[in-house]
Amino acid sequence: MTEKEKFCKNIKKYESPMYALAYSIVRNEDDAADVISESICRAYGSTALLKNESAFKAWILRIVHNTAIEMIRKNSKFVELDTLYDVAEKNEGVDIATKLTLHDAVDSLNEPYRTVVNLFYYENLSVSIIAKITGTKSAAVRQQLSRARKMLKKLLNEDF
Amino acid sequence: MSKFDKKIKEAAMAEHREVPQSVKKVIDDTLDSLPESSGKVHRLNYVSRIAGIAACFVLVLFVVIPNVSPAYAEALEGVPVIGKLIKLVTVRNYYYSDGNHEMNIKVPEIQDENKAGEFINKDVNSITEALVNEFYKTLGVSRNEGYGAIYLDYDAVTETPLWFTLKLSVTETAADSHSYFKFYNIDRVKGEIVDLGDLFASEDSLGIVSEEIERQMKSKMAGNPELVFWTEGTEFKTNSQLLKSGHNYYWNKEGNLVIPFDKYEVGPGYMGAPEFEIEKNVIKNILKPEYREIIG
Repeated sequence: MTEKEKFCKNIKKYESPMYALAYSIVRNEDDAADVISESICRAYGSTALLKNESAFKAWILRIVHNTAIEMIRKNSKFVELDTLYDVAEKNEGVDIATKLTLHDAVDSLNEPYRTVVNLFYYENLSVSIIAKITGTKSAAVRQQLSRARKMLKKLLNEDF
Repeated sequence: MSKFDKKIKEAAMAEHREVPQSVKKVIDDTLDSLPESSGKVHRLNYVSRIAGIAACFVLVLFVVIPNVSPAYAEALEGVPVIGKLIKLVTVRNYYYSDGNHEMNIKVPEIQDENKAGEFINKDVNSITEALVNEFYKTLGVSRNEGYGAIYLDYDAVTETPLWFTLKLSVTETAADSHSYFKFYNIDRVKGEIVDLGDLFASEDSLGIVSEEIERQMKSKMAGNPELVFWTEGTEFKTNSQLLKSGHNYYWNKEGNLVIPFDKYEVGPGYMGAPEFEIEKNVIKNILKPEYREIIG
């Protein structure tokens, strides 16, 4: 298998988590596609830096995360990053009259909670790996997960 | 794992998350476009719609041919004149735009009476020539696909009777934007280039400044959990000392030393290119005597 074939196989294997992560940050299908496209190019140009192939998933998700965040920062059509992070707990205390699916509940969270929930629950990644991907500290991820749990519990209280 | 976490994970696993066909197509197209060897990838080639491809494809190619005559230099607008000895002028402007790709590289030249200017001019020339060559090389490969731009500008960030600092700013834009900087510091009294390490009497002094930066990083992180710097004990902190003798620096208007870092150098990309201001009182006793006058 050539270098390119191996790389393409890995990308296809992880295209779903790549899309989910990109979408959770940029909130738009087309922009998520652009984030992934750019991330693939960046990753391919840096494959020599990846020494352990078992770390491919975390590595590519980290690139996707950084690319998406940078896109938000530079492009005015996206929501301001400060806004994304400042209104983190607005969903707490919301009176939900109808039952939400997990997908809806997660989708209603703000950043960084949406991203850590996505990586922790959907991708089954550890706190330390999530910290690597998001470029933060494990303690911060644990705190974000703790807050996200509280929000999800309120949103899903009838089912969970 | 808590009961709640277990339930949420089970529910998450049960959800069937599909990647939309349009996104799959973008992924497949991107993979198809990759060269066989990863070493041949250049970011500019593959960026698709991100920066918005201009509808107009009017080709504009404009290169100002070098003209280093004093008459030309004086005719340029906004020429900073630093004392009687140093002039900073734009001697070339490489400009290209075809709607998808853009280059605007202003090449400065220091005109002075000593070797510091000569050295800096040579260095600036080699940097700008490399950027221009890379731009045209990439342009030839990308064949009207994608989007990319490169800009180089300059500024005299410190101009005092004692000191002159030239800052080069390079910005590469494709899907994202990367900026990096180079600072040239000239001691105007001696007419010499002064590296960061040259400012201090002892080799240990860079360690003291590095420790002060680490302290500031930790303090900033403690005040805001969203800020991340790669400090001692964190995963991406290298074992080597933060600062080396040739690291970028400049003096600000307050006479404090400012240490800039490039993006990704001391933190994740979203932290941008941070700068740390070192107060006079931290370094006043470790500066060489001849430089203490600078901080006032």
